[in-house]
Amino acid sequence: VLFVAQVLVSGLTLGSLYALTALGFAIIFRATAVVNFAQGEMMMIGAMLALALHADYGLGYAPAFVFALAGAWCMGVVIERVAYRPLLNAPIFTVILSTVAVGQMLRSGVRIVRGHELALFPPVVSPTPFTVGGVRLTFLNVAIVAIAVVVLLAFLGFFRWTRTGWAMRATAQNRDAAALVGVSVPRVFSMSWGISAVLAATAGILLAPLITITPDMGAIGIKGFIGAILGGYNSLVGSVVGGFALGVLENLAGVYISSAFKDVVTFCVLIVVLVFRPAGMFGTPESRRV
Amino acid sequence: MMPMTGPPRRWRVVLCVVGFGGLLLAPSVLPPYPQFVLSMTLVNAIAAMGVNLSMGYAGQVSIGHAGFVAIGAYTTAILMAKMAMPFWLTLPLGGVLAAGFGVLIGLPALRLSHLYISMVTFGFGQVVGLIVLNWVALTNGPNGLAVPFVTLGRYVFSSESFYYVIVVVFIVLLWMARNFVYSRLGRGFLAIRESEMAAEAMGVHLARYKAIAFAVGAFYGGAAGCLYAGLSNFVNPDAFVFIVSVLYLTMNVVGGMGTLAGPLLGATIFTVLPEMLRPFAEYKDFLSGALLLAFLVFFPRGLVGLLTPAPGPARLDPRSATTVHSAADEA
Repeated sequence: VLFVAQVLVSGLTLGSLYALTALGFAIIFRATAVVNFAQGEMMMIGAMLALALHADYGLGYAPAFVFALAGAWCMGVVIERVAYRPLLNAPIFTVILSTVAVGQMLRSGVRIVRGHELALFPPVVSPTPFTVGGVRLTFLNVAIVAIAVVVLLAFLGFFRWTRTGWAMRATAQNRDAAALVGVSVPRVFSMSWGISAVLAATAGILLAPLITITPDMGAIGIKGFIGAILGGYNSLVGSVVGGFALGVLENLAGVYISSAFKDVVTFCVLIVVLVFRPAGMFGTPESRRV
Repeated sequence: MMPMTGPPRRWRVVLCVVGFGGLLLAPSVLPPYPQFVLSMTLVNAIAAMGVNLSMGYAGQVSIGHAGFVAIGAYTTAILMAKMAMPFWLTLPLGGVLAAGFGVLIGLPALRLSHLYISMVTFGFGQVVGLIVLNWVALTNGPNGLAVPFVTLGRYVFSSESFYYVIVVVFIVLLWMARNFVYSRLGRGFLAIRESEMAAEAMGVHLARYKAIAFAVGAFYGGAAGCLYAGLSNFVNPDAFVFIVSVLYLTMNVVGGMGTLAGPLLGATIFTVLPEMLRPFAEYKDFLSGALLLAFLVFFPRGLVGLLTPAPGPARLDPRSATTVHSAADEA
């Protein structure tokens, strides 16, 4: 039991990061019906910006993080203008490819600017472990989960209780109807990509102290996307739950199956879910209209 | 865009003769390395043709095509290195095995929209990459596998003479793709691409056609993988990563998706250009990403589209268009 609890703790730590990314995916998907394949790269950008601001420009942690998130927001908005807006009337797979292109440009762009060096993020809180009831925890675990939960709740609240949040949900339901009642749809697009970028960057910054920061670290963002599918792509809460579930599942698979094949297990989960229940645990199935 | 458009028949014949003649004569004028690049161009062109058949013609997104190429390459490598099977058997086997996986991917595609298919194919590409990397007992993991030289009777192929094998396979596959596109199946693919619902209403068996679309695309990928293994005599997981799948897509988009010439043009550009840009290797991925985005936004029909007139209404005689309008107005 203790052992399972230990696995759960590390699973939830990872899961909270997946949940942040998953929510980002879901927001873009609902607002613009596009899968953003550059989401993982936005995660990487967040971590890189924070690292550059902190290590190279000597900013304190707090300002470095705030500026990194602001930078991520701007990039999200710019990407929407460059890679999504011009393709509004294009076939859907054109738009998917354009996000793939953006991801590749971000990855290689960072590599050009920063080279191949691996960077470690200096720990923000003490990494020394302590035990609670036999389970080893670090302040980092606790801080990551706590911050992720607060951010997630804040955004879910934002969608539920603010006018802008309503406007975004209205656009997700029916773009034309939303425009008719006075919602500025283009503004919603910008907002969605901006918010999604901020969520990804938050996940990136939280992840940074756990791993080495490389231009390819965005690959982990894909886990967020699997989480979103597991939970239900068109449900915001569902995607968050799916993110957490995936983190736990992955750690269980790592322990009980094989740590080398745990990523294979997560991708198999993806394919099985898509085959048997594409709408995920909480999503509503797509319907086809003539 | 109907497959019947294109240059006049006479020009096409001239083009084919010049093209194939050039391919056969090329080794006598090219130094070894450029010839190797030409071989790689043809291998990439075969893989890109696969993407084109399932994506450009049947409209089924495939962003994990490197997975199929990996299956072909590793089938050849493992069977040749560990079981001493001749290349001439592993080539069809690799293609068929990849096609089998293509069918498996294509089955769920019946129920899923583009977005989900993009995720399934992406996930598939990742899974294959991870298995190849981690199943060390079978694939030798990140260290890769050496592939024995291809032999025919007593004759041992060098990478120079293996070029001719690639040319022959390439020509056969290109000819098959051409016939395929003009066939009943190919027309069914176009119908699915333009509107699944309309295609279904016209009697196109969606499940079967989608499965075939993936199988054919995967077969080309698998064949390309087999040739790659035979050409380079070495396979390792780095050759089949996500960025390679993106490269196949880029070849199609820049060349012109849904045309026979498009992937060939794209494969040429994106195999030769990186060789010329060697000193700027860092910028090559950025450049190909930027080109992909630029073509998607500004020239969605690719280079071939720039050379041929736009299909559909834009090509209609303006006078007949006005007649239709005024007739409609009067009615």
